[in-house]
Amino acid sequence: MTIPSPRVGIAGSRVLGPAVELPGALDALIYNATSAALDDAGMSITDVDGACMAASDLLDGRAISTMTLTGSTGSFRKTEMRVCNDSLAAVLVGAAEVASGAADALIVCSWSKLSDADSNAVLPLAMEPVFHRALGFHPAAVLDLRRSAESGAATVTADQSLESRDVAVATILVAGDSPRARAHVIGFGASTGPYLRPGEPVLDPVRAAATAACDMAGVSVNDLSAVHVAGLARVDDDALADSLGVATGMLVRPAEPWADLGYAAGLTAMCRAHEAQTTGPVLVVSAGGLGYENAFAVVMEQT
Amino acid sequence: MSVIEVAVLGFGQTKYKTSRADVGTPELVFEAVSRALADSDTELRDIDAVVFASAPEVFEGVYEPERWCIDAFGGVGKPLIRVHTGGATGGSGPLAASRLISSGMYENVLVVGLQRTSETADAQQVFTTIFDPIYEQDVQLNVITGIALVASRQMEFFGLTEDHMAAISVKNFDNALRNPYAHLHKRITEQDVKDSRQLAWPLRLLHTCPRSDGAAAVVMSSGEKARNRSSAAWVRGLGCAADVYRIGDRIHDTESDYAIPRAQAWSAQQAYTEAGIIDPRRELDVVEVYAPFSNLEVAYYEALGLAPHGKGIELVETGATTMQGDIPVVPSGGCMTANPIGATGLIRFGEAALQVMGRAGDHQVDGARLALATACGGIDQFYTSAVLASEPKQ
Repeated sequence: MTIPSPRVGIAGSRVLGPAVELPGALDALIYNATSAALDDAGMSITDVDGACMAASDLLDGRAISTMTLTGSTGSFRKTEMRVCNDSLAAVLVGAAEVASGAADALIVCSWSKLSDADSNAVLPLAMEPVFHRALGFHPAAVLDLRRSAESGAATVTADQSLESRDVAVATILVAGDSPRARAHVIGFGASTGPYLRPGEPVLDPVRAAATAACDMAGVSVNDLSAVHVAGLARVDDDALADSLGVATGMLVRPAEPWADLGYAAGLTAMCRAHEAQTTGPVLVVSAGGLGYENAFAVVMEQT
Repeated sequence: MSVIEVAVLGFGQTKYKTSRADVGTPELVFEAVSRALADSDTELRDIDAVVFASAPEVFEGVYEPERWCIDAFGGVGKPLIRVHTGGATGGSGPLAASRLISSGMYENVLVVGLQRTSETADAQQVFTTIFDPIYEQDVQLNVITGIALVASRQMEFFGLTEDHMAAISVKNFDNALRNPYAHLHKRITEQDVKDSRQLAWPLRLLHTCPRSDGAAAVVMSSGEKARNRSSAAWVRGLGCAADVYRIGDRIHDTESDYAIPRAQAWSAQQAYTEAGIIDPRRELDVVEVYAPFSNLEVAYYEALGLAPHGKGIELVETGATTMQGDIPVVPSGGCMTANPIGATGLIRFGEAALQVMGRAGDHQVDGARLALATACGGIDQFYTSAVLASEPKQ
């Protein structure tokens, strides 16, 4: 039995935005991102076997948000998978489809059109309805309480609010040995923390995801050239670097660190890391949830 | 390239009811997961990753319900991915898990399916929001009226009648009487179906599925692990396909007709090719099809290659898909007798696994060795297919 490598290639990618508002309908926005990623890869829609996407129904305002988007995501007459997590999870699932040999090439895409939504109305709905929702906590307050419980002292993680942004992002994953590969994703990791349990270290899931991705890639944190951070705006650099075991100077934050990109944050960071053409292995981390408990990480390197 | 084989080690499900008010949502998940772990003789510590399958979260009323339920399936410290492809969600879950295993990323993956539709006042009101917000939502199309349009087209296209639809309903309700987990346990006659309340012509109440609360879970593993087990269901082939959504996108497309779900055919063909199946009618022993409406089941006969073009109704007329026929379809009673939407496809998958493991109890098809499970999402749009076998590939 040959055990396939989970190593996959990146043939092309494109990020549209982030911007306060990207004009146009959601499907037009996504079409522009996926077709630009195909152009960047020098591929056409007939070269890909399917699409894997990360999208939120509630933020898109539809009960099955991907239903009207088959054409623009590129999945017509092809495989379609959707995750409801940060888009690094879509990279992980899409990579599994390619690495297993089920697909030779796959579009991985995500979007967030918060100019049409109110994330402050949606995110508190993650609190279960019986014990917590009536308290009216904003997710940022939940994070502050968790950090306070962890540190044993009242902690305000940040006094700045996230700022809604529109973004659409797509990348083309190909088999690891494809000549189209301009970069490779060589390690994948994910971990999940408890739900609203005070006292649990907030950054444990991020650290565990990063460690798993590095282990799968066969690299240590000392080998990393950079760590691209998606989201996690309310954690300061020193705490995050300390948790990951890297120097603070290795962290690369988005140009707008307080931009809320929804589920699209992770894939946007991965594409930016790809564009940066950094030599050596690069870690990309993301986390979502009421206190960053749903964490994902990938390790990538330029070809 | 040869890839890692994948197998199902065990399946667990809850009793399906209109409202499982006796338990909270995490407890409902716990019920299914603990049964799946026991059925597969697996400990939580052996699970490497969890795929959580639940469809629109407005049903539960909690954003990202997988994190709320995390302690119920032992997900703390593990990779957790939620999939959602509408009604196909429960089919996409094991598909994603299979890829995670066969890629070598993880060896043991738990797939959890959940839906608690009783938390929603009106499911059809939710379904009106699946349509395009600018051009279509104001029309107040929903799943029932949409499928009624499909049924009327099938009457024109291949001669579907109310008799065919009633026979399907009676078959599935009869089968459900042998399945203790089914939501609807009721002996009905074809006349009962024809006398039941009309919803949207030609659909009547007994042509449709119930709204159900419920959860299901399967434990999937690498073939290497499964070879040490006394029973396992081997994943021989998987398929997945999406169709366009707008009717306008199908104008002048001679291949397209709403009477026959072509994306189901594409998806099934992928699975058959992977499994080496040439004649599904002859080679398959049992089918667990995701058909929440009786008219859809007839259309799927053709889409799945069980009947020639336009001849699906002959399988109804000859009784071929009853428990006594040569190709029993939904021996569990299927979606028409239990439909916790996001979990429903996973139930089809788990029931197919039970069949080839010979552990389906009173609704076991004698000697079943090769089974097909399907799922469908959107309006005739997302389809998954899985071929499960009692033996690994030689």
